Amino acid sequence: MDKRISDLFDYGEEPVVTDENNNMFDPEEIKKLTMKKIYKDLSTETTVQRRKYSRTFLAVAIAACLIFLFAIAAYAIYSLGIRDLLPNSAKNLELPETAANLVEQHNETVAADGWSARVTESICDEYNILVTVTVTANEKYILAFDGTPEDPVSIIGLDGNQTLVEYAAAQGKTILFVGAALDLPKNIGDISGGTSSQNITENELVLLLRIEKRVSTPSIDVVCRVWATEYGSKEASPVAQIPITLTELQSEYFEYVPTAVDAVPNLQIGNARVAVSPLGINMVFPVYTDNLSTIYGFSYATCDEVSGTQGYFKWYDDGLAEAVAPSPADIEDITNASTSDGGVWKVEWLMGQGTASDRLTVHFFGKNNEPMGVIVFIKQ
Amino acid sequence: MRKVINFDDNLVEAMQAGDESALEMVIDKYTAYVGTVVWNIIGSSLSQDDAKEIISDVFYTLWKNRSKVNQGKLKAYLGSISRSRAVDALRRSRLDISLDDDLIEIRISGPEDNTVKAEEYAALRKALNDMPEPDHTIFVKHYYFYQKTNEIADQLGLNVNTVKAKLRRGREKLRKALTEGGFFIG
Repeated sequence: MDKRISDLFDYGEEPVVTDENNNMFDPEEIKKLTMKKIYKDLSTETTVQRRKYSRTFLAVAIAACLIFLFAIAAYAIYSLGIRDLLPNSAKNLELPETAANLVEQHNETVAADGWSARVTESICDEYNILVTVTVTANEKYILAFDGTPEDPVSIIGLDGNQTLVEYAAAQGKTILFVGAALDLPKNIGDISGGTSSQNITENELVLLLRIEKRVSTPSIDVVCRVWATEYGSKEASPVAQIPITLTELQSEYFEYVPTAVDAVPNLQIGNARVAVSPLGINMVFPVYTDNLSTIYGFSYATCDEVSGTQGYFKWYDDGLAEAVAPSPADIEDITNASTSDGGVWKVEWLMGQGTASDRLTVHFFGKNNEPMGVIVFIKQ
Repeated sequence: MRKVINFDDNLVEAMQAGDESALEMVIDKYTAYVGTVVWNIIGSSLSQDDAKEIISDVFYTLWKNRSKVNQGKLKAYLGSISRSRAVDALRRSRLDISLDDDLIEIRISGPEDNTVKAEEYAALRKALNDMPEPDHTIFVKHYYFYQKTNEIADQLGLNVNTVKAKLRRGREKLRKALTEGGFFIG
């Protein structure tokens, strides 16, 4: 997809501008203008209700809404979990039978004004975290995930040609867009992943949060953040923060050695580390080159013995001192060219389906899907 | 009245508890910063009065959305809102803020959720860190503050073609950082 470079600046949580060189504006004057807007809001509201989104409020709200939640639960004929959502997520996988019985059940819940969020299931291994969250709202809302009002009603599982906003207007309801994320400790290193969802009813949906991590964390405390934005409202929306603890499934580890370290031109292959857990097979091996443009020429890799996922190149900043020469683009700025900074390129398959067979055959492909080499790994 | 110590996290917590004096302390602390972001975007097109209106709107938005501000992220939140409001003001004035060289093709395998966006931003930060001066300043002026190449050339006393060449190098560094971050660039 085409992205705007200018839009990428919106995705960060660190300030881009660090120096302030502007004394043109008097804070006292700004205060007056700002408070005037706030008081104008208060004076025109028909119902004035200060919302305090402190943890104390949320704790009290949990207690106060327990009866509400039990009533809602009574109406929920069934719920959806990891097994139901995983096939329709970006991973497009079936939850292995070995893992289905190991899914941990949760009931941590936070209530907000008109809606609540409950963590329902989790499962994780060294490389993968899967968590489901059920969001329930009262009858005046229609819940949707990460959409726009012009999206078709099919995104919430309904038939018909109406858009969400048309349907909501016809029903006399308000659209509530929900989202969620998992906050992991900072020292866990690089993570990736995604979120998918499925509606159970118009006012109940389940989110599947999927995280790929690269550090083993036998027991890890994370915070599941859930937010809901009321379409058309200018009021602030609360963010529910649900702390949970995840316990890693144990993996069995195997080492594989490449039969020919230089079978792919300009690329040297290191030993593969394979971790097999009830969730699947995770395989990672390093690659080395003295020309970065070689790496940029690859697109993906496949493994004959591992299905359900492809291998992707990933930069690991893990302290291994593997210097690579600057790319041609850097030659012009040779004095500023950065080396690997102690990192290394690796190829990884995460949560694949397969077993640690005696040999693993890996095929490399270029940008136009052209074959670029084959490596056979032998189990030690 | 609860005493508020002037540290960002305490200010955020106090605002979330409804303490308006905490907002006033935030305004004292961050008017210069917000003013820098806003004026860098609109300064060549709109007036100081317009800027004051936008700045107060930024703090008003902060107050209305104070529950969304995470610990340690106040300044970044203000920066983001400042930029957004300033750009909105330019668009409302029907001023053209589009950049000719703004598009980059990124291939991702799944939905572009917050995790993917955070990774894209991390690549951007890496590219920025790799840029020497004045390339870094030029890149931020163009892509963050939406300043045109001729404006930047005038400000820095450079030839327009030099500015364009440095932007081109900056985009290459961004492409490299995105590729290292696991993205595939078209």
